[in-house]
Amino acid sequence: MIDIEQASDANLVVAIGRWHEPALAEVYRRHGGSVHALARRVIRSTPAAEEVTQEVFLDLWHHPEKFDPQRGTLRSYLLTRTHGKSVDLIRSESSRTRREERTVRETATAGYDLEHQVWDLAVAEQVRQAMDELPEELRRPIELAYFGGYTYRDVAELLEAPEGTVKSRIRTGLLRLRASLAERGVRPAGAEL
Amino acid sequence: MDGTPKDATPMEHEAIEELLGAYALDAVTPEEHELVRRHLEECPRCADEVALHHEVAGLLANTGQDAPGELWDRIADRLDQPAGDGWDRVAARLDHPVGPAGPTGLAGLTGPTEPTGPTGPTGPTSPVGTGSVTQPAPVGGSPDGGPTVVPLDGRRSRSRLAGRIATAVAGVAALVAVLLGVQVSNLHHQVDQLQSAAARPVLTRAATAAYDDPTSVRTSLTPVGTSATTTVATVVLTANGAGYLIADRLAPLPSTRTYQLWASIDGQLISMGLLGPDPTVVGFSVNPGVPVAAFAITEESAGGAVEATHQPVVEGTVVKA
Repeated sequence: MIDIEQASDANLVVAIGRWHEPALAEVYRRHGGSVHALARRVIRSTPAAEEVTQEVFLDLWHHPEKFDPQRGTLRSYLLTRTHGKSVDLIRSESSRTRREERTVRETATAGYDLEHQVWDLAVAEQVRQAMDELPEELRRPIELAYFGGYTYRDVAELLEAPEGTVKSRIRTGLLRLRASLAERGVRPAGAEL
Repeated sequence: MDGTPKDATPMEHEAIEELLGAYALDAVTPEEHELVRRHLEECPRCADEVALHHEVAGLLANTGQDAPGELWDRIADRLDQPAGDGWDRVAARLDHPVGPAGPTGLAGLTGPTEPTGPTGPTGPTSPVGTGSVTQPAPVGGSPDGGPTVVPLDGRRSRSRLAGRIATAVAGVAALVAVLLGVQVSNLHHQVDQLQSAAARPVLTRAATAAYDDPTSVRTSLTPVGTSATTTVATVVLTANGAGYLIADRLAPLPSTRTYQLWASIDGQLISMGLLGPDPTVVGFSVNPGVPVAAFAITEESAGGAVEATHQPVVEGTVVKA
């Protein structure tokens, strides 16, 4: 029997494969807050974000084999699933509704308030600094795409920039952000215990 | 060897590389998503880059908030419920209505207006990290109002059914065995999946009984857009509203895709739930008496779709005796 609280994320997923509910509860305790917060930030609807959170963890419960530890951390996997589901949801709205909301979401996603959302103060501060150091032309497309749920083509329209430029800037921004975080000694959040 | 695929020209590779950041942030079109996804299957270098982008994005998403305890209670309440039964409700909980339907193969039908069911009971708060081992439970589910449908969990059921069902289930076991052979060194949980697959007696047995029940209505689903009339899947709907999809000739999809079952009810397409990328026997339920005119299956991205986004792969009109 594994010690749940000391188990690595990968071992918890193994236990989930054996229908061990406490293992899922521990995964939820470790990552549920970030999953829920990301969904809420992207969707901007607390009830819908709660549903997405439930779906993400129920999906892990029913299909733990989808998580490949060689492809990244469990946290990254859960957040990737969360973001995908959240984006699918907001894009399922009619284009009319989306246009009406665009201004609201554009404004709402402009902020970057990690300092108020403490998971690990040191890491959060490092991430905030790394983001701040990114030139705005790299930072803005990432924020709009990730937190606003826009495609790079939408972002190009919003920023009145060529699509190819935006596409390139998102990639460049992420690569530069990763390099900056590596220099600061920041490892991916939720790395295996 | 740089890890790039042998069949991609340098120009193609470069073009796809430029999309990797946007792809990792879900900021590409469905067509581009599929293009990149296929490329990643062949290109470990690009797959590694996407994995790194996902890790960085995970850092951006880092909020430090505690997981809401009451939300865990709701999750725990649903662990014994069928898989995939909640996605359609998500849209219903948005502040804005779902938009019009995308194209479907059922002419004249408009997009679904999903019924809003209750989220589920919120039980007393239980401490996270405690609990008991969950045993495979009998599947089931009942409608909670309107034409609400509750897909059953095919993963927890496995047994025998003469002919096609037995063949389909055997195919799943073989697939799991192959996966185990390939990745046994690092994925112990796949062993556990195989163990879980051995404890699936309920759903297929229920499907067998329904199939043999003379009061059930069987609907053959055949390919759309071809002259082929071969039955690819069969939907069995019992008089009490329990439904079973028996799929034995649906081509397996990649893990990022899923089949989704739809029913035409009162002129609307209502999702019956996600079937997964390689369905065999899947259960669902419909309120008894709800007039289902037709069934269809579409191929969607893994999370499913609130409304059908593609032409059905197969469809069939319900013909009652």
